[in-house]
Amino acid sequence: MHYAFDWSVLWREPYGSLIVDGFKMTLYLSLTGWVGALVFGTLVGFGRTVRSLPIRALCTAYVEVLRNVPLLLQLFFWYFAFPVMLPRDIRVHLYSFGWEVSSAIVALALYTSSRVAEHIRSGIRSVEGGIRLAALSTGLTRFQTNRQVLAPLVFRLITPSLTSEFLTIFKSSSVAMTIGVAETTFVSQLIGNATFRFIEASTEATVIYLAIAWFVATLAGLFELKLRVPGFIQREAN
Amino acid sequence: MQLAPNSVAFILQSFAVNILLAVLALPIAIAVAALFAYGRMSRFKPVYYFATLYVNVLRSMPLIMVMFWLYFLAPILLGREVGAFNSALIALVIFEIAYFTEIIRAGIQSIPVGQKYAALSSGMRPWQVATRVILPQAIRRMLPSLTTQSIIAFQDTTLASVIGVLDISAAATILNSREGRPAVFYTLVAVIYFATCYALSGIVRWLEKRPT
Amino acid sequence: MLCIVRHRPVAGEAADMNPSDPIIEVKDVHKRYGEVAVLAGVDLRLRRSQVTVVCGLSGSGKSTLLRCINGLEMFHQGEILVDGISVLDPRTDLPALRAKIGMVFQHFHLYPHMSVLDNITLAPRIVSREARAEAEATGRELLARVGLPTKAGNYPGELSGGEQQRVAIARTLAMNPTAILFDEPTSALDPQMTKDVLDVIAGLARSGMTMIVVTHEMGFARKVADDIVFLEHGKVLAHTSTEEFFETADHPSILRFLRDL
Repeated sequence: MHYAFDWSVLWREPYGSLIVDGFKMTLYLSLTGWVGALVFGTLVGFGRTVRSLPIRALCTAYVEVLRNVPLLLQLFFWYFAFPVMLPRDIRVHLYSFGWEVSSAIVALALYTSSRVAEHIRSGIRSVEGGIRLAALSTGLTRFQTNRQVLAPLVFRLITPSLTSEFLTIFKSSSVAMTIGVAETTFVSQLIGNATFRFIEASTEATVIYLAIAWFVATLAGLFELKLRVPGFIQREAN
Repeated sequence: MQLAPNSVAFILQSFAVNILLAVLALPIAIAVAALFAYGRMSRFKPVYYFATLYVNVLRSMPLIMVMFWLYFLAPILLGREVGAFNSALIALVIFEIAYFTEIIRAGIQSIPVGQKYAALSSGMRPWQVATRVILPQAIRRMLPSLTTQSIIAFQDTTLASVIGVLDISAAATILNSREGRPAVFYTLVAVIYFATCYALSGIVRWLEKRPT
Repeated sequence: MLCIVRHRPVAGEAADMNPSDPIIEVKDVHKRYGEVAVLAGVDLRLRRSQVTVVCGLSGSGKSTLLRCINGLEMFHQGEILVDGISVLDPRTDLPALRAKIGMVFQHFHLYPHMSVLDNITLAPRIVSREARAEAEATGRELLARVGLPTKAGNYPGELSGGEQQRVAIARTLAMNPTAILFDEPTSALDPQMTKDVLDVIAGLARSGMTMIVVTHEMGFARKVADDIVFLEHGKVLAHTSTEEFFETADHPSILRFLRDL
């Protein structure tokens, strides 16, 4: 195998700072997307338990559509198709401030929110019935029951699933490279193409993802320890 | 909203690439994952460490990275041209093994230990216990998760386009650059995928409702 | 599990043993879970056709003892001999040994994905290599013997607890064991089912089956057992004949146990 390793591409300028910027972009995409995912995921997740049928149907449709279309296609939709459907002025405005990154965040947030909503739904199903009845019978309204009793319990129960989704969003952020966002994967391929040192470049990207995964796993371990609900037997929440 | 008939044909042909990738990759990935699952439960240290390392590393990386790795390494390792489709296929198999391993392991471990005791007490050997008593029950329990992960794998095949495979997402991009109507093509492609996956996930719903 | 067979045990006989030798010998067995001693020096001897009842409070090591006897669990110190063969010896063919000793569990553990008849005939077919027709014929006889002649085609989920346990007993009998270990066979059953199952076990005792029964059912013990072993914290507090146990036991723990029944 005649491959001359040259690890210095990783810190030589301009590549070194590209890698750092790429890493920062990965963090930015993932963390912003995660906030959106939690907000929408919680709304929709609990929205499936309200009494109003139209809202329930809407939330179910939301989840089913976003779960069943691949993330890449969702990204393409937001980046390519969505602006075209808007009035000209708004479209120009979107493009002017970097629609690449924003569309990636939108796609990530919506896709992940549908998965968060599903975890919430299965969490609710495993604690419902008895606890909801008990709370209602002490005079709490449906909304109060959801907010004061069920939501805190459900979130503590689904912590393992949520930490897994948190890691997944970091991995999923790599899909933004297909529309030119300079995140970790994009940068590694850029460097590889510029220097022909593909193995070194891919290694650094891989190491970054492994480090993120290790960090999230450690964080998750701490979280799950503190938030575990002792003695609670729940049905298999997948 | 006019759509040239050969545009639609082109899209459906490319969709067949996604289907083909999934249909080829999944049986291999699941079969190997069953072995890895037992490896994850093995008391034999080298096997345990290998399986655990494999699963943890591959579940930490995006599939796109695995695809790129295969794209570069496959020709070097196999000593000949591999082509985008085959690279994507191998990458998909390697990637999905890690996920199926965990599903299968969880399924096996969900069978009460009493079943193992009862079977062993009759004098059955461990492999007989596994094949006659544990696995038949475990597979039934795992079917919803296995199917869900398979649908996810089917969606993941769209990433093959980043290493040049002409799948449905690449087809949409090509048609868009040729005719410049992004709203039509990208929405159509999303709808096709949605319809397929929704129907497939109907199978999962049916599996979960069935009395065991 | 690679075991070189030193001695291939044949059901009911051993090459150089005479009929009055013990079938099961437990000698000074110790087992720990971390810091806690689950078995702290247990001795036991079981002769042909003998029925021993093992009792004691929860956590006294009764179930663990049974699982050590047929090698489902390992122990740290001491020796257990089944038909003269040491359970701990790495050369012992454990599956063959287990085929001679039957075990009935508190939670029955029938295979839910197989019919009652298949549950009973599985081991004879794949361990003893019996033909299906033979195994099923024997199986139906055994079902009749435990009082369930019509249930061959049913699945475990369709049966009551007591019926499931009787099927479990038939499943054990199908392997023609030299001895049977019962691990709290009626603890998961209501009083009526308990009676049905105990009747079957008593019938086995009358027909000369060698048994160790871990149970809280002291009324049953009084009628059926030859001797009684009382365990506390993994130690044998008393091992006497049945009469002696109920009449003259004087250890405070035993008296409390008998009083709280």
